[in-house]
Amino acid sequence: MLLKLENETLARVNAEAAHEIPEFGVWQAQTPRGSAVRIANDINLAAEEFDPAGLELIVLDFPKYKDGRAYTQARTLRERYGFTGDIRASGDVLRDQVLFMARCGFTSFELADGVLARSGGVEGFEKSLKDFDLFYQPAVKGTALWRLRGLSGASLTERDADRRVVAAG
Amino acid sequence: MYRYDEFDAKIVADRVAQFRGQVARRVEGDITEDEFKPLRLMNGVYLQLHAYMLRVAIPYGTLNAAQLRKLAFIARTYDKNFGHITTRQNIQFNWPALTDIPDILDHLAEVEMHAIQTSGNCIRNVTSDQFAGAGADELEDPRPWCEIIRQWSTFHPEFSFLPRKFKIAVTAAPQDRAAVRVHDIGLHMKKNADGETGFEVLVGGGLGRTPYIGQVIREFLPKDQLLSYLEAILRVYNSLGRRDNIYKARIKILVNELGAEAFRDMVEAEWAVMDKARIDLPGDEIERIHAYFAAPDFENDPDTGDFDSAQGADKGFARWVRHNVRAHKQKGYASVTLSLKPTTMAPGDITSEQMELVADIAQTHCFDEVRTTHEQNLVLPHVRKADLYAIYQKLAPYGLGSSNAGLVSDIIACPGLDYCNLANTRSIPLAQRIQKRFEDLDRQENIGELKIKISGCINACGHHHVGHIGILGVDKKGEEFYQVTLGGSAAEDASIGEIVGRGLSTDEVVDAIESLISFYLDRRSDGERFVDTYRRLGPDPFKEALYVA
Ligand code: SF4
Repeated sequence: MLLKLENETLARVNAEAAHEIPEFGVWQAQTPRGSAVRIANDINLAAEEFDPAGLELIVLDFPKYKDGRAYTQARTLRERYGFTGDIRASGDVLRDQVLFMARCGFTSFELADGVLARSGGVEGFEKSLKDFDLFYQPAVKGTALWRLRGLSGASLTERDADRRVVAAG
Repeated sequence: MYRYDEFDAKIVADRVAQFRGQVARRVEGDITEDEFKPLRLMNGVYLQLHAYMLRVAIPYGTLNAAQLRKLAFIARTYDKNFGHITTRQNIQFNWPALTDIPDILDHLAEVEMHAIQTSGNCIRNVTSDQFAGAGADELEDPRPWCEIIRQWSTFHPEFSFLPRKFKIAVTAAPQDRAAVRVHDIGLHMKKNADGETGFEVLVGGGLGRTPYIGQVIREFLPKDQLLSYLEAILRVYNSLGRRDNIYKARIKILVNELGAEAFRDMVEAEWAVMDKARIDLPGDEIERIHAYFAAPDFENDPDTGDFDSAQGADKGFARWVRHNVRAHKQKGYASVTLSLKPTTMAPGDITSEQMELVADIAQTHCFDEVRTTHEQNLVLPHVRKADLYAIYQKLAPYGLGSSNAGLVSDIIACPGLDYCNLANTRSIPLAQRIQKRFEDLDRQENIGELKIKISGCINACGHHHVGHIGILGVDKKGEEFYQVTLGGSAAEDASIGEIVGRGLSTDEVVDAIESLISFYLDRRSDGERFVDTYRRLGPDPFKEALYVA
């Protein structure tokens, strides 16, 4: 079961399951390298020479939802390596973490069996994605509040319109 | 102090709504207890021995009267009429019902308070010097930087599922009252050779079962680059901190396994490639936050009224002034410690009536400000000396007039077996027995500064490792025993106490403490505190003294 985030909405899509995608070591050995890779969460991307050219999909893993290493991996992929393709969260992916994931650059979410049913469906996930619309700190997605505050004099609703401009820019 | 704008208010309101939904889904059974646990923890809700506990954040220990009155209301309405000040300057309520907690959070939000990140494996409430903005010895008020860290760390998307909890403390005085050396990150404001203020950055301090003193990884960090540097440290920790063993997951273990230099190199490498300008605050936002912490409207050299004459006439007041009143940077003013360590209550407990009294005094005499301290007391930071005697007289009938700040009865104790399901031993009754033994105020005064800290188990919530005398509860075949450590300190001379001798039974322990203190009194030279004499003579003679008991 895969949910894809596009234009602030989540849609069910069909795709290869994570376990069918080659692991980092296998992918590195490929010639030419394939367009999808699965990266375990104990691979420290800061220490790797990593070139995402040609990649369209990177799957990151949450063996348990409490294990937050993939948040750093996702941000590193986006901000340091400039990866613009799909970053998929797989493993123990739950509704209450999906906003954190999206802010760190995840764009799709592979859910285990039964998770969607007890999460209020796709709508439940979308609701959690909108639990907050103001953020204190910058990340991959979502403008830092101090930037909005810098837009002098505007009220919350006025700045709401501005925020989208800032976010897009 | 910092005041919310509409954005801060909306974030807190959104958080309450989110948590209300999560509680409802838990009650419905849509979230398992295992999945719910970190969600509630990140909102300060623990399951204790007898009930849920709610820990409310008091960012860097600063409160106003309206907030204190609200806490009094919550204690009266949802708890047993008291709250408990913690060693992280927060307040916790021990008896709320889970289903009442969203309503409590609504009440808190009305006065710009919350329970965000007071627990869980995330960046916790940032703590600071209780005399910030008042102390005669500080470089500048560290609290604007605490607020900057509070905002940056709140719901940080990358650092909400760290290997373990993460605590940051900031101080700006040479005398370290914030225990920065025993925090995951300690920030000590200092001046560099060019006279600019910045941060000395320490990492890897901490207590618990493997105590460490933090190590300096950067002598001087320019202030405006604080957030990007913190982000680099957290990123290295989030990637590499151990997750296979909960007891090895704190950053102190990582720093010590890698070595401080290797750790620092990784942080600096991460920092070097980071887009700092995106993360660090621009000057106008730094100024905006500083403006909230402008000094209050002090009078210029106000008359000190009956301050001197009352000390001559009232010995109790004179004693209180000696121990609980300290120098202020503004002439004619002082800062006051309100002791929450009378023998009649658990250390750090405060009733609704006491909170309301302090709120009234703060409003009338202290520019609407109160502080909590990591030693579990309260502070009125800015009081005119002329008002002190009147304040003292108001405090005494409410049990808030104890003249024991920094003395042997000013004990830090964890909740222990009375509340905590991890405890080996009781802490609160032991603290009370020691307080009783040393009840005589002349005797306490003669003993001088002595920090006793009690933990009911190896998790060290009572900071026993850094007590001049530390007491650790251990379990010996189902019986409560106490292990004594000596020579610890959480201040600028930070050190981890050494274990002396075998465990002591509940019957022996108070006598043993007394004989240690008698030995110190016999052997001290002029002006030496207990810990100084211990450091001079070493553990052996003290060990002997312990066994004589
Ligand atoms: S030190 Fe142990 S007993 Fe005391 S509060 Fe912490 S976990 Fe509980």
